[in-house]
Amino acid sequence: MIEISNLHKSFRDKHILSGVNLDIETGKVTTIIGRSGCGKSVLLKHIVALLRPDRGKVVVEGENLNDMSSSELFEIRKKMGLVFQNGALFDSMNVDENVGLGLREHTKLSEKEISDKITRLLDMVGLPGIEKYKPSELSGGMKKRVSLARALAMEPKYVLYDEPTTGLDPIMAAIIDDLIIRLNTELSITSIVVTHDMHSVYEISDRVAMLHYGVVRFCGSTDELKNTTDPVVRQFIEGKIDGPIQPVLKDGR
Amino acid sequence: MASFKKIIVLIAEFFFIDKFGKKVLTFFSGMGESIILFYFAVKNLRYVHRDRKLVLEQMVIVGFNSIPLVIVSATFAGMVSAVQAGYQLQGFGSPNMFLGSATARAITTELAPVLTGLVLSGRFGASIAAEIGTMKVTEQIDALETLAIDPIRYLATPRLLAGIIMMPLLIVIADFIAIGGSMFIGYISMDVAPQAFFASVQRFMEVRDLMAGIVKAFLFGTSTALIGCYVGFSTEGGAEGVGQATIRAFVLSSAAILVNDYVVASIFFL
Repeated sequence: MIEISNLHKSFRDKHILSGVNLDIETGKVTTIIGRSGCGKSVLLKHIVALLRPDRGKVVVEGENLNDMSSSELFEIRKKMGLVFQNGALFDSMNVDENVGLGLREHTKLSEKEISDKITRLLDMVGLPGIEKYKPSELSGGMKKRVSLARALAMEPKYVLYDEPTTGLDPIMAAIIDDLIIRLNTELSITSIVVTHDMHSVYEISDRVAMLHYGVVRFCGSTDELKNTTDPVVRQFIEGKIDGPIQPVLKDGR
Repeated sequence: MASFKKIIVLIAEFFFIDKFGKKVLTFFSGMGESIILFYFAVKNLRYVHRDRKLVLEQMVIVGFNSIPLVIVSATFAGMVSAVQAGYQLQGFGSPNMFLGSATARAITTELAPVLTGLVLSGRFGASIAAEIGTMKVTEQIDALETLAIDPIRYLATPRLLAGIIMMPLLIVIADFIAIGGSMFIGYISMDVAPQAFFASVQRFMEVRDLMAGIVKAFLFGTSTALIGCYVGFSTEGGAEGVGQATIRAFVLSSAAILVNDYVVASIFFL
């Protein structure tokens, strides 16, 4: 269980999060939707403590991340995997070294066992035989899937996805969606997915939260999302130009 | 008159004190952060056996790959020091008997450490900042953290250790090559036999000349690697930010080399 309470974060004078309250249930897929720049990725980075809040707290399995030392945070992070929006693969390493880095750092597995595991993970994300490729030789979609393989290598309890299907073709997006569902049902992995892809949202989500102006505007099941009467949420999920959500103004809103 | 004074004060506050004050604060906070980074990088030396592959990789990049550059710069530095020393000693009775000691002392205490330090600050100090800066702006540092890997242990400690070990070695190499270059010019241009050159070196060189050079090399290696890492970790923005970080690392590490050079020279020779 991850509990996010009254989370505030500003960069310079700009408030990004203005009191986010959200509970992430264990073993479920929670998607976070919202307009570009509304703070979805910032929220995700708070959950893995890459960012510290100005106010409020993130509690993971009963432990407040604010109260933890660096070494305690590293232990919590071993239970989490983050799939970055642009992959964030290590340029100087090949795919094998990228995916296996966590295993080589934190486990006592033999090179053979690590190599077998990397092969399995790459097969799982639909990229067999690319162990020796460098990130510069991969397309954007391939980088994202290698990033997913890297995130899964340590068998985390929680996997956080930052726009996992953006930039992928529809078939590959469906494969990733299917993978997220399988990881959730077969391995009981708790997934938090930041996405704009409404098709994915309906496909994978147990719960959906919508961020708007730094707070959670909506939180509920996909059925509740479909039936909501909130005009802001309706405009967003239907992708309409006219409605209460206006184009970005000078003050960033 | 009073209002004029008020305007001057306001202008001074607005344009000078405010901006100057901010720059001073930024400078000191940067110094503080560098010291904290140094502390954590040194603290992580306990994992050095586990990270020996990373350290060796950096030693090759910092040290082995820099040897051609060091050879070229040291050869010409030694040759020009012989030319200059020969010119300066022209007014003395037997100038050539001092050529060896004059050039060797200048090379070991100043020329080799400072020139090599400056050349390497441009080479590996800037490259550390560019590499870590690129990792920062492309979220690779965040990725390391999410894999429960301490970026200071993984990135800063091996680079710092490589700088501390390799800079003195490179400067010792530069000492020998520059003295060789100086001897070569002495032989072909001033008829100073190699035996006479080395006799002069032996007669007038002191252990503290060599020690000063080694202490400088140690400090230059530390400051160059530390500044490269610090600037890299504090990089913001995209490609432009990385470019600025590279320049900043070179400027700051060059300035640190000159300051350290003066401090060590004062301690050893004043």
